[in-house]
Amino acid sequence: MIKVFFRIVSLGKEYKYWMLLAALIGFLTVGSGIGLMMTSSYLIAKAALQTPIYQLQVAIVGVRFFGISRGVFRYLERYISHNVTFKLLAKFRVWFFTALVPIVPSKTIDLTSGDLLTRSIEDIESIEHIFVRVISPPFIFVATAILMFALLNIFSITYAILFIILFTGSAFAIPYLTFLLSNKIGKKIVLLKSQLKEFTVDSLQGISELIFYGQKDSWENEFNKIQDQLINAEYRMNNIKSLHESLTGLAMNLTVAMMLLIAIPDVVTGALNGVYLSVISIGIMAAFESVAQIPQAFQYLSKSTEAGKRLFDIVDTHKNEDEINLTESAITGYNLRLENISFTYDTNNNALSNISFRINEGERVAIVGASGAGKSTLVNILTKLWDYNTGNIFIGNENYKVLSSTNIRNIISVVPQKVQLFTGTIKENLLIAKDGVTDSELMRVLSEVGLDSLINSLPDKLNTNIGELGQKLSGGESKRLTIARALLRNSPIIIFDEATSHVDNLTEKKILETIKELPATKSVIFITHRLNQMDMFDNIIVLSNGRIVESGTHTELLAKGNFYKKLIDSQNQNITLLS
Amino acid sequence: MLFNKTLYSFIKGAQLKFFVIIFLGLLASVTTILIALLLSKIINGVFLSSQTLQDVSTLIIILIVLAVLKSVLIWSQQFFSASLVSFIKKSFRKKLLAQIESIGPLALKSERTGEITNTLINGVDKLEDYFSKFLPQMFLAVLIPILILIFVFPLDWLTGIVFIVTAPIIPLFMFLIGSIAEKMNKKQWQTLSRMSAYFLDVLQGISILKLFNRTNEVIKKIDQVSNSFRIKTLNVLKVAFLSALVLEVTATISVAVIAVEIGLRLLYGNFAFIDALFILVIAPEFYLPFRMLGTSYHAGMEGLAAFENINNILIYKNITSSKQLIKHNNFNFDINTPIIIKNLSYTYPGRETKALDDISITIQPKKITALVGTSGAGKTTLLNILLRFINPTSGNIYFGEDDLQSINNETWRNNIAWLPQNPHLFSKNLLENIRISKNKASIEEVIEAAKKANIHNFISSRKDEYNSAIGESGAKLSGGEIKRIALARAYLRNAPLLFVDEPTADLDPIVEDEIIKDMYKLFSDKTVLIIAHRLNTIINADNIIVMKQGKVIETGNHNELILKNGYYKKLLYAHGDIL
Ligand SMILES: Nc1ncnc2c1ncn2[C@@H]1O[C@H](COP(=O)(O)OP(=O)(O)OP(=O)(O)O)[C@@H](O)[C@H]1O
Ligand SMILES: Nc1ncnc2c1ncn2[C@@H]1O[C@H](COP(=O)(O)OP(=O)(O)OP(=O)(O)O)[C@@H](O)[C@H]1O
Ligand SMILES: [Mg+2]
Repeated sequence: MIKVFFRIVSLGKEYKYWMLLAALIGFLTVGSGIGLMMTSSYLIAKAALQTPIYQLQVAIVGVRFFGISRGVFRYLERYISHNVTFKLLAKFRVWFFTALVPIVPSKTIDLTSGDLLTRSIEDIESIEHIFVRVISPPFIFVATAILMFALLNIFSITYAILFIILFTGSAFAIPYLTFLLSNKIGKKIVLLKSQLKEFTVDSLQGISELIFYGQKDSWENEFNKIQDQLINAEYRMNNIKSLHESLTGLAMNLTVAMMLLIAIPDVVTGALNGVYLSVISIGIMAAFESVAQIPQAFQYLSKSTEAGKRLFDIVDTHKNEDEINLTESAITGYNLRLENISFTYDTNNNALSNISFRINEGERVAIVGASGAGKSTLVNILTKLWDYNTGNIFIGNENYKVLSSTNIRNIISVVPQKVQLFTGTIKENLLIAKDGVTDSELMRVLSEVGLDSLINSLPDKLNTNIGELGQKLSGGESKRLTIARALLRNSPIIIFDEATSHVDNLTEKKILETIKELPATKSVIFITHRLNQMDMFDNIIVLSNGRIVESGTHTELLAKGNFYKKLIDSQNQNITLLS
Repeated sequence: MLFNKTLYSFIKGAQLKFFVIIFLGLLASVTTILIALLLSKIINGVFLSSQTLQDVSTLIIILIVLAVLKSVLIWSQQFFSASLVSFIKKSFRKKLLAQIESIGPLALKSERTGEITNTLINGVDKLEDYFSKFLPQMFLAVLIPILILIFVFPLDWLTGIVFIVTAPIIPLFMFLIGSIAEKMNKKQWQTLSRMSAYFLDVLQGISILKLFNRTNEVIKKIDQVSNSFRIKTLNVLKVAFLSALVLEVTATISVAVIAVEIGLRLLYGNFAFIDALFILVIAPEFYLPFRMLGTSYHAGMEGLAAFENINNILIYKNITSSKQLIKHNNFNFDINTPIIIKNLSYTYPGRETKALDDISITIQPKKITALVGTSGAGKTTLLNILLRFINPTSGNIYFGEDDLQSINNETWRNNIAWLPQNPHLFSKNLLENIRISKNKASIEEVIEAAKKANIHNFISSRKDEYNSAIGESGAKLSGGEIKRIALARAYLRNAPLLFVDEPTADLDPIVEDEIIKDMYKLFSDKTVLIIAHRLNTIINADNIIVMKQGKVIETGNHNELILKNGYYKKLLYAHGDIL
């Protein structure tokens, strides 16, 4: 925990002077409070002795001065510390996302987006607490202790020592108690909150199923189970907080009482001027303001370090990956060659075994095969979303291993099997592929996938919002939007994964036509279960169980009469029989 | 402004706790006053009346007792407020969950999950301070000063007047700043909510952003969003701090004024030191409730802004129950009843064209009806109405004699097995995912359903078989595997009605053929509705309904439709003579 703590602290070192300044002003705020209370009690005690007014002038000015300075200091302290905090927040977010992006999806497959969302919002907010609530209060406390020691020492070293013992005693004992009590709970709160968020995101995205299947009760139960634990932990945390708040108040009053016990005999003997009896006790009361902040700091410690741990998890995973020495060389030639590629997601079984094939620049290649055969896995590897275990891939003359993923993705566009669109307008979603495209160009691409009439029927045309994940479009429409997005990119290699699986035959025909009409230099990899117009492909690769079982042109494969022929026959049996 | 009636009404059920909190707060103030009285008596005794430690020892003991009492009071006050907070949070979330359920999936799904999650979890959290700090403080800020005035007036009416004159300045000023801050806070909260939604969007779409080399832009945007959030937040906080500053300065200056004023009167000997000291000690306590109100003011405001968001969900009209007719209490499902659709039309909010335009068809019992047509023709929309996810804009659906709207949604859905176009798999294991359609199903039943859906072999080849984890939304599965697991879900339901939306869209022809053949066999005595683009799967259907642009354009079985030589035939032979 201490290690994590210092790691978090080191993240903010860029702003250390600002934080120091905030702490200093924080001290000045407390100091002004002490000054205000001490001078005013001095003033009235002196006045009670009928001191001539001119002797009180300084005290009167002091009262006014401290009165105003306290408010102003407080304002400044809050402003500065919040400003720093939010700057850190922005910095941490960027830091976190920069580490996260490279490891998605291969290293984060076991983390849900709800969990990552909690990390990127709550956890980052939690570690930021370290800077305001954990670091500065002890600093303010020490400064206040020194100030009070010096002040009390003017009257008697005994007071100073007694005070410092009680003062530091409460500043250590109470936070220590808080820390002991809250240590496990803080961690628990972080984890439970994340769990609750995960569960909520997952449930909301499957809300149709939950409602349809009448799962409302069991869903609510599960939500409540997590929530109850969370609320229970938060409740205990609140109680700890009130415990230390009331203990601090008690410590203050007891310290004052102790001080009275020691000082009263001195007043009686005349060792202490009676005027200062009230000055001392009221000053002590004001000084305790700086103790009040400390237990809270310790209460947040376990929460913040747990949050920090969760963030470092991601960041460290990223550190182990390095794409640093890769070239950004311009790729020449787009011949794609796979040599003995094998790949496994987990040690379970091979998703791809010994895959070798080549796709020359401008070739149109189809990949077909059973569901689960490894077709989409091939896409993941060709786009470097996942790293293959053995074998080599060459593009042009370059080995994939020395090319950066940015470099590779610049020349390959993908229509993924799973539709992934962003909340926003149609136009915004298309522009992800390419900047600065005119509306008419967008419309042209959209018409190639048969979406032009839909867009024209929409009141807001290209600026229509498509809802989360494109939910406001029909299944086929959203799929076609992702096709348009890939086409717009105009890259040398385009991969279509089940691009036509969700559209009718006429629309499919239109899409196939569009692909046929792509410039002859573009390579196309077309993954499909719908074996229509297969003669348009220069080569068809047939996958089964992660292996290539056969390949060739449509006519060649039909003639062979193997797996491919079986696929075609299954598809066409009914229709050919009837027509 | 800050006192929100609707929000206050949530206290109902915990009213007692709430008043106990206020009462204990008040009692704590009484002890504070007594402590001040004692302290001034002790100091006065020693300072002016030459009393010794013995003389004041009883007083000191009482002082210590009171200090302990005060701590206990404060602690129990916060104890109650912690439990109030738990109660409030739970009841808000409960309300929200119920509402989310009744809004219906379609309206909800196109909303942003991140925003709703943020409201449900963080929004409700923000209410914590409103209820535990701000609201009780609002009462205490009235009561405690009155209490103190009761003590002060008899001692010194002049100070009492200073109190009375300065006190209203504080709420007045808060009110002035409040209305500005309130607006800012609402905006602020919206920004935060949107940020949460944006992050979730990004997190779920990182792979796509990577494929299009857009991650740098996104990280830049996150930086931007965070920084603009910082600036906006600081603007809000500046106002909040300013109001706190004003409070602080008003309070301290008032204390200073009082100190000087009583000091001067002491000087001329027409005021007792003991009273002066008491007033000096109590003066800060007079302003403390206001200052605390100022401190919790920002938190209260945030809570209010968050509530606005919560309320937006709470007041959302319940789509499918708003128009419901009187329910049948004893609706008896009879499998021999046809589903009659009459003049059904539907227009999505924000759209100008009808998604369904005057549809009249009959789904015959114990027959297989197929729904085919262009992408975007309205097939899924029709299904959504049949599932009671949305209400038709006009027209009706009858189940035999009964209007569908007169049948309880749950009763109706209990008789349906459904396969959505894009099924959602939850972050649970395979068994739990399938069993969601029938909680009480035995493992044998689940295996049976999985076999029918052609996914059992795949599942048993996994290391953990039915207990295997599948990642978020089935991230560890292929597209076809997801579809088949969802199909197993539908089969497990074993309901008399089967509605399937593109059951074989991501499957290879061989698996497709097996599944379809089984489906026709297994459901020969049930009523089946299949939506399909792969026409080979519906050729043997008893009735085929062909849709285009929201209208039914042809109906009949395969042979009849071929003879019609219309749109169906055109779709069927889009790719030439054979498929
Ligand atoms: N992240 C993952 N972790 C573990 N296994 C995975 C993961 N992703 C896919 N798999 C498994 O790897 C195999 C190949 O999956 P892939 O998605 O490549 O199939 P596919 O040929 O595209 O199938 P479909 O036609 O159904 O889309 C499947 O059996 C699948 O369960
Ligand atoms: N939530 C929504 N909000 C607004 N418009 C919608 C929404 N859902 C669907 N639409 C529109 O309604 C029309 C019909 O959609 P529907 O999903 O019923 O089509 P479909 O026939 O199932 O198409 P597909 O075969 O492509 O799945 C489409 O034009 C679509 O854009
Ligand atoms: Mg696939």
